[in-house]
Amino acid sequence: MRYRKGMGFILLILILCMNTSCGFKDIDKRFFVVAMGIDRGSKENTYQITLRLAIPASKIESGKAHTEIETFEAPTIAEGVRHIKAHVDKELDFGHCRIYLLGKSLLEQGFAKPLDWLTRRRDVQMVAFLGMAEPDALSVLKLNPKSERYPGSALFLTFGSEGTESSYTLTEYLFDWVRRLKETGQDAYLPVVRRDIDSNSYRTDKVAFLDKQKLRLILNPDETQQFNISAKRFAKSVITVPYDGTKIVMALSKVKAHVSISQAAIPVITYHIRVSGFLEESPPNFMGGDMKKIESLIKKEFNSQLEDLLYKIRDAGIDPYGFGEHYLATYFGRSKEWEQWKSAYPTVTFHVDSKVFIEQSGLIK
Amino acid sequence: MKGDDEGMLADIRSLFDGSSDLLTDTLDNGFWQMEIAYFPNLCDERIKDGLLVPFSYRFDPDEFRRMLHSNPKYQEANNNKDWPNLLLKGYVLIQIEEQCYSFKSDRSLVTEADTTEVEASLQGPQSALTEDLDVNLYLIRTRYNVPSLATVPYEKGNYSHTAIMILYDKKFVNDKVLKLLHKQLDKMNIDLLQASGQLVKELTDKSHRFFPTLLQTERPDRVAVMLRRGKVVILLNGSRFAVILPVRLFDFMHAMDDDYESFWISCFLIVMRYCAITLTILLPALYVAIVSYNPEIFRVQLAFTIDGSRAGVPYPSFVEVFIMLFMIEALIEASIRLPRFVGSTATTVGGLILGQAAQQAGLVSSIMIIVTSVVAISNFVIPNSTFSQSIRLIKYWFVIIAMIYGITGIAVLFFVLIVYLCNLRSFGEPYFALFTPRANDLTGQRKG
Repeated sequence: MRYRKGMGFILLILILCMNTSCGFKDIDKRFFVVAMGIDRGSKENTYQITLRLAIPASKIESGKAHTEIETFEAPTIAEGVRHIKAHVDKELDFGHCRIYLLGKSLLEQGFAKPLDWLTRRRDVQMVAFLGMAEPDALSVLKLNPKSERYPGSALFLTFGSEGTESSYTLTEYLFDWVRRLKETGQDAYLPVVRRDIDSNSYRTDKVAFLDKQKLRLILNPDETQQFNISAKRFAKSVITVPYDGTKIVMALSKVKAHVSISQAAIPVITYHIRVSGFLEESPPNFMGGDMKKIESLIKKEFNSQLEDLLYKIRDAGIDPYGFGEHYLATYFGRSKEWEQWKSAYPTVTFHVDSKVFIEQSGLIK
Repeated sequence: MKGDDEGMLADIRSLFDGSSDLLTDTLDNGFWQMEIAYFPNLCDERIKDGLLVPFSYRFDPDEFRRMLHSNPKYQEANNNKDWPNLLLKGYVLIQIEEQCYSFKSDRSLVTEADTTEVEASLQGPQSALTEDLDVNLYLIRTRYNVPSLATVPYEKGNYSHTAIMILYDKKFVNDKVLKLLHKQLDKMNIDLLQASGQLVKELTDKSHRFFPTLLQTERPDRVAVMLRRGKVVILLNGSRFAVILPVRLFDFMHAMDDDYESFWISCFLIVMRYCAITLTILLPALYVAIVSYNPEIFRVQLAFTIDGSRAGVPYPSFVEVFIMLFMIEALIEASIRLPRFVGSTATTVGGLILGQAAQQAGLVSSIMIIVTSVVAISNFVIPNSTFSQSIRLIKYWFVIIAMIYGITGIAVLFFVLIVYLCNLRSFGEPYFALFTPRANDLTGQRKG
């Protein structure tokens, strides 16, 4: 009995050892991809894959982060990545790749395939950041910013709320992007990543809107900020109002918004938004310190800014706010409703109802 | 009336043939003759006042006879089968007027409570159980001062004849447990019973268990607390540890200070202790699994740092882990066994120099040094040393499984560990029971 038990144990160990999965690879035998770029290839139906690989060092210093760029052109992304494996000495690992850049030319053409690859691969994290590279991913990834302490750290500190939080920078996660592309009544957006003029850092102050197939509209930085306030309720931003030759700047501390859509042949979308904050810049003794008047002034200007933006987005035939989804959710989302919404959306009217509260005027009176 | 005139001494001499330290003599004070036999080295000075003085120069036959009958230290011992046992326990055997008596005069070296050594406490009582049964009973009786405390004596060990005392509160004890304990004690067959650990081994029905199911403690205050909870306590002569049963896993993680500190402090300490035990079990395994299977679990900064520091390490991660764990285990073992004077040298040499050198030589990564020290330190946080030993062992299972299956393996093995703990019983009571009956409800369990 004892003997049999021992034999069983040895057998168990043997089976366990034989089952060793192929995943065992030490961390120093892996090449971490820190950013990936996908561009249109030079030939029809090919992709240019660019991988930015981290070369780790035991010493950490600003500007001493080394990366290596590998690029390859292949008819499919999977093939391209496999081919790049033949160019490097260690196993490629996408586990820490948080930046995926899609080239502008690729997005103009259509992007079904990269999406497929990104969502299917096991080691691609769904919390990765996505962006549109302008003019193309390869040239953006070739940049080696001086402030980088870890290989590739500059870009993923830019997005998310870990490093800088700018109201001009929108953050789009892979999971959200996939969801937006699959969802009826909602369209995707991507932040635009460019090289800075001095080629020392990245610029991410614009946003690109896409419908389900391709790129449709790129906003300028000011509109991007307005979109960030209204759609993302991003509070660390400012509202600028021109007044009498100067400008009044209100810094926000709290943003609340909700949408109501009326059920009519041509629906009216009312955008309720409530912002509060304080004046960061204004002429001294502005309007005699009458807060009500200042508030109504800012409110009027903000309403017209937002309405302009909403009409601009509507005219481009896209819906990044998700008004369509809201409509379907409110009024029974049968297919007929969707057809009706699609025909009504280009002529829909917007009405922005904003409330502005100035909590403090700042320290100087 | 056994043994004629020279019967007792002759009997004893033939039994203890070769024991030159046995004193046998016939004393004569002019009136009476008294045969006497005892081991001088097992007996103390009480023999002088209790026996020799009244027999010699203060002799009065009536008084002496009265003393023999009224002093509780004198017992009739006419059965010659008891003689060897009595002598060996430190009794003096005398035969006077055809009657045999035993006089209790056993020597005890310990007269005071020890100070705690294994289970130190910051603010609690500092006295610990001793190696003497009587002193221990005193320590417990003074702390658990009720008439319902029952004590049942036993003697175990074919060659050591170790005295055992079973203590419980009649009002709270679970009869099933008591019955099971008596059954186990009757079954027990051991030659030399010298430490409470042996008793624990003998009382556990399956000896190959990963976790102790009986608690050993040197603290009389813990014993008192446990008695109040209806547990059974076994004291062993010659061991400064009491055995408590049945216990739960959480009793092993309980330091007496938890009861003495203020509420939030003890909450914090308990939470910290459970974090530490999780760390000491899982950390080496997690290191292997994350470094070799799923580096994406790290933050990216940490991943690159480990990547950089591992660059010079020639062996795969699990070899690295085994090297370091072996070193730390050897170090712990050495510092327990070494004499106190050399002990600190060993830790300095081992801990500081070896660790530093191993990392500089590129044999292990610097992160691994941190992992090893965390594992060792958190292991010492566990208040019970038996339990901490078994935790020491458990982590190797996790390293092995992490080597083969990575994170998934660790998760599955952790589940298996929980299942195993749920399966364990300590004297019929569930070992992993989260809830226990309230102290006031304990009288109810006596029937069931």
